[in-house]
Amino acid sequence: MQGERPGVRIPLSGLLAERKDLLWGILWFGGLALTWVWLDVYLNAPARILVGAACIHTFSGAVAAVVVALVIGWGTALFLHFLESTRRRGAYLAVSFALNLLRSVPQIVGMLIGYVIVTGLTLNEALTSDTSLILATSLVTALFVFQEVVDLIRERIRHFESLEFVSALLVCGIPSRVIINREILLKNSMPYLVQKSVALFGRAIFLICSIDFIVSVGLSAEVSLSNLPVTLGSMLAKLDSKQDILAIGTAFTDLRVVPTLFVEHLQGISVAFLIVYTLLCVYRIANGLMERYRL
Amino acid sequence: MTPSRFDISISAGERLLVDVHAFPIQEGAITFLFGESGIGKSLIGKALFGLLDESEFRVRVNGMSYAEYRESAGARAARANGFFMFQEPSSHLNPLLTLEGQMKEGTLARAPDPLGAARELWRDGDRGTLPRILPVYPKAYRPSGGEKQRLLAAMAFTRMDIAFADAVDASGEPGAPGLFVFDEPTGSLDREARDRFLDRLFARFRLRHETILLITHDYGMISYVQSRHRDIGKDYRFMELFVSAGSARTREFDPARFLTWLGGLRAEPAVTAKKPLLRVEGEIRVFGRVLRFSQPGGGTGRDALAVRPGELVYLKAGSGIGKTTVAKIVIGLQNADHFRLEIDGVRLGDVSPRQYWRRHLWGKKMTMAFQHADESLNPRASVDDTLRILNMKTIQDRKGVAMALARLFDTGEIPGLTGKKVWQLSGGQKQRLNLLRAFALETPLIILDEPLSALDFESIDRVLGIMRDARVRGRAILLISHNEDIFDRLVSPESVYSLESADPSFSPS
Repeated sequence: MQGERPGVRIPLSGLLAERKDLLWGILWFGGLALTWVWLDVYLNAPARILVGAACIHTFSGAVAAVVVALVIGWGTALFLHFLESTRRRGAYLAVSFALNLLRSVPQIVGMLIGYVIVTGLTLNEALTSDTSLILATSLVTALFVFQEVVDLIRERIRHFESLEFVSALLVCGIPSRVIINREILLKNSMPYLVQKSVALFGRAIFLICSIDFIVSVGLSAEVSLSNLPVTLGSMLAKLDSKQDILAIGTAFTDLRVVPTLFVEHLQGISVAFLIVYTLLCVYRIANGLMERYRL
Repeated sequence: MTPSRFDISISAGERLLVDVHAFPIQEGAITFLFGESGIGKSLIGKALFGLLDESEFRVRVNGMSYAEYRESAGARAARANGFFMFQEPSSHLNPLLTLEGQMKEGTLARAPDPLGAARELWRDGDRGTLPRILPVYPKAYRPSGGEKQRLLAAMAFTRMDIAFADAVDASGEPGAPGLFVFDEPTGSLDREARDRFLDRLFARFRLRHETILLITHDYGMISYVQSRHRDIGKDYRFMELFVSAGSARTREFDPARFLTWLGGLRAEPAVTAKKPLLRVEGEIRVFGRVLRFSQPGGGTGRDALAVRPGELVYLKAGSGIGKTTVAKIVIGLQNADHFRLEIDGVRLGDVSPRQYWRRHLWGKKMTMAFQHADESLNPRASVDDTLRILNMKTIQDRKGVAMALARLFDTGEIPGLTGKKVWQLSGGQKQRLNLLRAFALETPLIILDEPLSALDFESIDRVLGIMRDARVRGRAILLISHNEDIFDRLVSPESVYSLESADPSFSPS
């Protein structure tokens, strides 16, 4: 299960080669830092501040979505387990049906519906600050990814319940909730939960950027992307960024444009780069964790 | 294998696991290697046989690199003409080939009767269970652990027979001797099956003195071997592996020490006056079998098993009959088609809600120490957590944990132990922790399934001491064990029960 081998000390030189999650984590942070230095030199201040804000909003929104997904997923998994173990079949089937119904909705479509609700709340002035808007969109994102957490936790509980140590703890009078939360999930499933969280972080960034790009046409006469906190997706949808992206196409036919890409078209290219590079690194980190802990 | 004394060091990364000097493996002799589980007995056997993975371990044998040792003429002959019987039979057997196919596979097919050795190890020969399990593809649960062990032992015996036939047929120089390693060959066998295995082993050994390394923690073998095969006492020796300064070392084990200790065990008087704390009625129907209790010692319980406060009740049966199943039924982890029991005046049976055990019995009136400590402890929990989770008043802090551990661990062993994760412990340490957890709860009834497995001699003595203390404090103990050599002496005959299967198609082997 877990990858540690007793007594085997990994030499420092081989650490990064062996721990690809760590390697890609360093590459990600390094890439972000290098991009920021480059933008600091070549991008005008208002645009640079906008890119910085987009990064912060996107990443904090994704982190919030992961946290909310973990909380909802953990709670739902425990609730389902409780219904199943106490043989409340009707309630169990009802909750399972509701979850499967939610699962059947395509994530992008579901999130669009969620954004419509967020728009409604914004119009009613229920959501006014950037923080509340980011949390609301994170909740929408979490609602369409949390079932992965439910599946993971239920699979871990099922696996460990078939092992003798759970029976041994039960006959010692240890309550099921302690066994599940502490002994199974915290002590024996942390690598799984961390890996899932990293994967969900990447998924959340992808969904947030996709939706923000899609809704760039505006959600209503009063609420548009200009009202919502700027994210990497919405930055990409701005006219300036689109022109920068189009410049990449021009560079294929006119090589003289290539040097200007990295100094004159920085806003769009850096935003596109940050999205693609982040998704690549997060994907590699998640894979690295899987390899390291043999999940 | 030519040298008779081996210097073996085995390391994993920076950690020295085994460091033995002048370990005697005399050619043409039997070496019994005792010791606590998980301290390196199997590693030594595998190192000598050339089975260790060099990517995982750094091994040196008699100053040679492991590659040099493995390619030496002696080691190659040991492998080519010998056999290694693995401790865990399921890992030895191929799940994609029937057991009969495996009995006739490779060089074993050269034997005139490849199934002959297997028949010797079954009490009912080829008329009982053996023909029924031979066409089976081995699975984790079928055949039973004891049956698998006997089949593997039979393979080793067949290999010995072939080596003997080769030596007899050879016109010139006798062939290079092989090495036969038996790693815990009798761990799942009852005493009768174990003794039959030893008799067949010695019978072959008398014909041709093979080089045999028998790894075990069953010290009871000593009394049997000493009583039945003392006439060739110069051809076998007892060694013990122990841990010193963090690595495993060997020393000679004096059989008289164990025999004197064994002779000093006295059965405590049976408790008959008190009302039973647990009473299990005499017929349990489970898995299509009917299980019944009997009292070979002539107790008064007739067909019911009764355990009174302060009493040690010993339940024994042949391998695979269902002792552990009965224990799990009593503790409420396993349901049955039919059973009736009474615990502390409350009647329970197959229709009783499982929640009753959970709410009223587990950890309050009864608990159980499972047979395999490896599986019954959370490997990712620390020793400290394993005891503190019980939420006992006496084990709230590190001092309380240390005091609890001191009952079964050496004082010097404890400081580094409390923070260790369970997966870092040796098999014997896990077993001691497993038992401590059960005793720490102070429940009126404690069920112990094979409490002495994986333990060395000193630990066995300490565990018996804890059991005695618990009884003195009025705790009732229901004990399941293969260690008949010890418990037949320790338990009063009136408190010994035998479990039998009434299914005519099933017979203990």
